[in-house]
Order: sequence, then structure tokens, then C-alpha cells
Amino acid sequence: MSYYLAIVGTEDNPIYTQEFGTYRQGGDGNSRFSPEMKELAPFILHAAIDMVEQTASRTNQLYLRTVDNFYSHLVSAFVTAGDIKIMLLHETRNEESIRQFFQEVHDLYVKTLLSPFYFVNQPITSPVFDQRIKSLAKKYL
Amino acid sequence: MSIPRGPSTPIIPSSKGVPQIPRTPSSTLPHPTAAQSPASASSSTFPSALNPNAQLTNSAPDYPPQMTAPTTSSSSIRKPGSIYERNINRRTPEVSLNAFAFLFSELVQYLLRQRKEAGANAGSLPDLETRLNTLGYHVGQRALELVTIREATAGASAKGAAGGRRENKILGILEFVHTHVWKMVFGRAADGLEKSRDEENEYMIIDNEPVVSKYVSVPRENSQLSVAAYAAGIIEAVLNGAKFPAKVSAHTVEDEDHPLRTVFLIKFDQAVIERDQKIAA
Repeated sequence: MSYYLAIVGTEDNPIYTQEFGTYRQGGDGNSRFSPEMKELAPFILHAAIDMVEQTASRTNQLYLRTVDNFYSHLVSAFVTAGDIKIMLLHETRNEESIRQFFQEVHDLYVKTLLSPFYFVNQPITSPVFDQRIKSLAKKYL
Repeated sequence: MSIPRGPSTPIIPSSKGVPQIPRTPSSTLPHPTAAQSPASASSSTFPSALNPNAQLTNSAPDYPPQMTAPTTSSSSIRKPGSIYERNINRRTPEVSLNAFAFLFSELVQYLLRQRKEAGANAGSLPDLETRLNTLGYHVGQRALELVTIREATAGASAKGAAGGRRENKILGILEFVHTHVWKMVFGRAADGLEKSRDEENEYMIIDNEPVVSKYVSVPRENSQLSVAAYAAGIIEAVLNGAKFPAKVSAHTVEDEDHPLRTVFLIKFDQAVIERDQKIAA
């Protein structure tokens, strides 16, 4: 199983993307997307932004659960108070652990934002952030 | 910019009496050098930058040993870790009002100096307010996310409910600013929240004694200036970030008991009002 995570800013601009695989069932954490899927994943998430906005306008929860699907792939989303969209492309339905994963990613994002050298909608390039995201993936997905 | 004097309906009634601004007594804060080395507290040879008799040429060998101690023994100073290693829910101790007032006065003076260097005439005060507003904006963008995440954790531990909320109603977001944001940034809730009776899209947040203008006296020729524009910037950022596009301006409207009473006039975009009516319907 493989996952594709994207954090999308307020102008629908990607500020962070990451691809990883599961550690469950003997996985090694590397993504097993086919080459076609690797190219398609950003498009699927980008297309799902409309669905995220539609779902977000109907609820005041941060976690929106699964908002869209594309053949066998599902898109889950989480929208922060400042309208930053955290989106995940995944293959199996697992709402609870994805919720926990999103919450921790949200914590990490806000920590990044609290740095005086980071501004809203800037791409996140910190290697520590990268590493933290990967260990969260190992913990929850 | 017109000063709001029209009739208004209180949403949250203004609190009576002089509000107490919580402040950390400076005596509870450990002196930075005393914390590192107890010996320095009793030292009388502490080199003072304010001492006009101090000789700069031979100051280096005259440094008492405790001044150089922190650099040689790194164990006494805790290096601040990566921002990712800190706990996001732990509230930092309140900053002393003195330190804030000093920093803020420098900020205003810096902006004044910048304006002078740019050659602007002394009359263009709105420009100074815009700059203060911009500085506050950066605070507000961060406050919005941080307050939400902390409220979520506080709510989760109290009720067992999980996850934070996004405010999607005008009253909800205004109360959020009035209570939660104000509490985190200024240590107490604001004093009033009112809706204009004349204009549908105008709301007011009232602070009887804003911390930012507490120690700022505006000269007579600049009497239109309100340094609370900084706080207005914070409000504007929170509202814009939460998808409630609005313009916020600060006006000093004194009353008998509160000479610094400041009204933050919030003008929402018409689209926001229409959306709110649609949600209510």
C-alpha cells in the first residue's frame, strides 16, 4: 500500500508533497505506486480540492474524512483554521488512524508556521519536517 | 476613516470597571545571569554598559569570571532545540509588560525613522498605521492556527471530544477573536463586542485599555494616530485567514473612565454577510 500526502496552501498552491508506503504487513516504507500512478497522484489530489472546499463549507470540523475517490484510490482531507488543506491519497479506508495522522501533521505544520522565518503559503523545505512526517507515517499508516 | 459614533447594539456587554491587565511581576522572573551562576548575583564588579566611567579598552580582562562562564561550560545553558521538538500545547510564561512596552516603543520609533528617511511629510499617518497593521498581520496569522489547536486540545481533555473547529459564522469568529485570541495575545478577553445599527457589515470590538497603547502618548499634532493599528492587524489576519475578508481599523474613542478606550471597527466584505445569511436560512 502506498500513500501520497500533499499540504495545499490558501491559493491552492502545494506547499509540501511526500510519497511513502506502509510499514504494516512487512512493508519497508517505500512507495509502491506504479510509474503511471506516480504521475497521476498530484492530478488526483488537485482535482479533489474542489470537493474539499465543498465539504469544508458544510461542516465546522477540521477533519473531513474521505472527500473523493478515483477508481480504487481514496482522498481524505483535513482543513486547518487558516484554510490550509492537508490531503492524503490512499488505497484502504481507515478513518481513525488517518485522523490521528492528520492531527499530528497539523501540529507539525503549525510548529513550522510559528517559526518567524516561515510565512503562510511558502513551500516547506525543512529536512526535519520531512523526517517527522515519515516517522508519523510509520506510526499511523 | 470615520470614527464610529453611530448607535450600536452590544453583543457582549462592555464590562464595567477598570480591567486588570495580568502582568508577570518582574521579581518572579529569574535574572538571566543569576540563573546561570549564583555567584554573579552577589558580584559588585558587574560591568555595566550604562557606567560612563567604564573603560572599554581594558574591559576584556576585567570581566568577572562568571561572565565568561556560560560560554566555556555549555552544560549550564540549554541550547534551544528545533522548533519541532517543542510542545505546541505548553503555554509559554507571560512576557513582562515592561519588556513588551519597550520593544513596542522601539517598533513605533523604527517605523517613524523609516518614514522620515523615506522623506515622507509628517502628515501621512495612515501610512504608519498601515505598516503597524502589516506587522500585526503576521502575529494574527499564527495566532489563528495556534489558538485553534490549543482550544482543540483543551476541549478534548475536558469533554473527550476530538478535533478543533473552524468557525463558519460571523458571530462565531468574532467571539473567537474577542475571547480566545485576545486572551492568548493580551492575557484577557476584550471588553466589548458590538454590532453597528447603521451598517449591516460593521462590527466593533472594544478594548478599554489596549496593552499596545498603554504607554504610548501621541503628540498633539498626530492626534489621529492610533498605535492600536497593530492589534487591528492581528484581528484582520485572523478574520482573513478564517475566510472572512474584512478591513479592520483602530480608533481611539475615549470615555470618562477610559482615556485609551479603543474601538476596532471591522468592515466585512458584502459577500461574507450574504454567505452568513445563507447559512442562517
